[in-house]
Amino acid sequence: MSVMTYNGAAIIAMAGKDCVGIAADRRLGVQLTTIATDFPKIFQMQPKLFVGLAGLGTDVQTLKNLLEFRMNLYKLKEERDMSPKVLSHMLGKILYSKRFGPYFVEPIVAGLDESNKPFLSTMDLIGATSEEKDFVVSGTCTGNMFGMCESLYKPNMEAEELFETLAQALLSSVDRDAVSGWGGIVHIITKEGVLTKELKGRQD
Amino acid sequence: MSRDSNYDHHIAIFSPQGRLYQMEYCYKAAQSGLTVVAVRGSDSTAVVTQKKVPDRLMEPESVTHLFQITDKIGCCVTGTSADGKSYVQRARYEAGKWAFDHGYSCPVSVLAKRMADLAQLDTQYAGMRPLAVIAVFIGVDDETGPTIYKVDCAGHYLPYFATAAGPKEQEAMNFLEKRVDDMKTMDSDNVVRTAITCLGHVLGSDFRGSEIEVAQVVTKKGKVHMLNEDEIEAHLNAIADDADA
Repeated sequence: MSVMTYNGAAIIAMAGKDCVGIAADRRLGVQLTTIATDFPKIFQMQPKLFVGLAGLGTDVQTLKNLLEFRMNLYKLKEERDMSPKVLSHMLGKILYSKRFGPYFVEPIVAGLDESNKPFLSTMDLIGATSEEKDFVVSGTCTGNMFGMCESLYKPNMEAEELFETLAQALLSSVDRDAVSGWGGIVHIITKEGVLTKELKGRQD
Repeated sequence: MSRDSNYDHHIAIFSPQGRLYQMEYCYKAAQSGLTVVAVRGSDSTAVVTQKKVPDRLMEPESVTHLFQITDKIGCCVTGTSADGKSYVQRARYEAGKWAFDHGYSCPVSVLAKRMADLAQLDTQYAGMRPLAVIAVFIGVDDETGPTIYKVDCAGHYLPYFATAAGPKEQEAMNFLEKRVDDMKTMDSDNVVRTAITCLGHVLGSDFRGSEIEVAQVVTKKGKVHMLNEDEIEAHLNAIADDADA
């Protein structure tokens, strides 16, 4: 039993042409018992900035609240919105500050920067960050998700195609993982706004 | 230094007459800033202060004494502006932390109490001088409705129907006292106009839109709204029209 697989999670984010998508499963379990099928793991921090948190459920919730707190202070002081790069950096710092007693989450940051260019980053539980141009994955079935993304992904997809690719990659990955799944949720962020769709997959 | 007969003037220690000289000097410093007026209505609160840009070389937008503490709490600080900015940062942190710890947004009364308690510490610890600010917090509380709290440098804090701070505080309070019964049923526009009229009355001048700053919170769902110059002009015109009528 590992603390990172205790509750179960699967999150993928992908970059398209002037758009990004982020998708997650909806299950919250206690090891093999399913407790909730509507547990949020993706949070909209700003109109075009999303954070996905995979890992221990309590840390997902706490870190979301902590991020909101820190973002509010930033926005009040700086009198501007936080850019995805800054949020990613700040999140890395918060995680590293607990280097010897970490938050058990591996976050994903996905959004559009000030010039509406896609931004993707992921980090481990102690804040080692990596920015990617194509896709990032996090959760209990990263092996599956990497495989699906690598096969299905192509660069510069439009919003419609990005949605299909993301949804199929997520659904197929979680089907072979016992602790993730029970539905999915996908957000596609373009400069016009955000489209959110719920997925119904295998309910097991 | 303790041989100095005026030792009690230097730090927060009682004088033989039972006074805290440092606190009195601090209060003088805080009162030397700009005049602030705040008014509470049936479902909104507003706070008004002067906007004096000391130097033509300064960017006017950067000169302000009105600050947003959270989405729903606004604040005006009078006194030394450096202390004011530090005070505001602390208030923002305290309100944000409270929301993080408790899971809902910090009420005005709780924040006022917290800032007052912090100010009181400086009156007991000799090593830290107090912050020379008087803060007026405004908001519309979910449970109790429109709220104004005034917190001074000694840590006194009280809720008010309407209040003033800074020079001419007493004259402003006298003006507001006469209108306090009407205030209970005032709508948001009248609340702003009463506050502006009070400020104009005690400072003995008419204003242009660029010479005052106004912030208001309207209804429990409302957020802190800093009025822009056009909105302020609209209120000033309405006041002038009423005066002519």
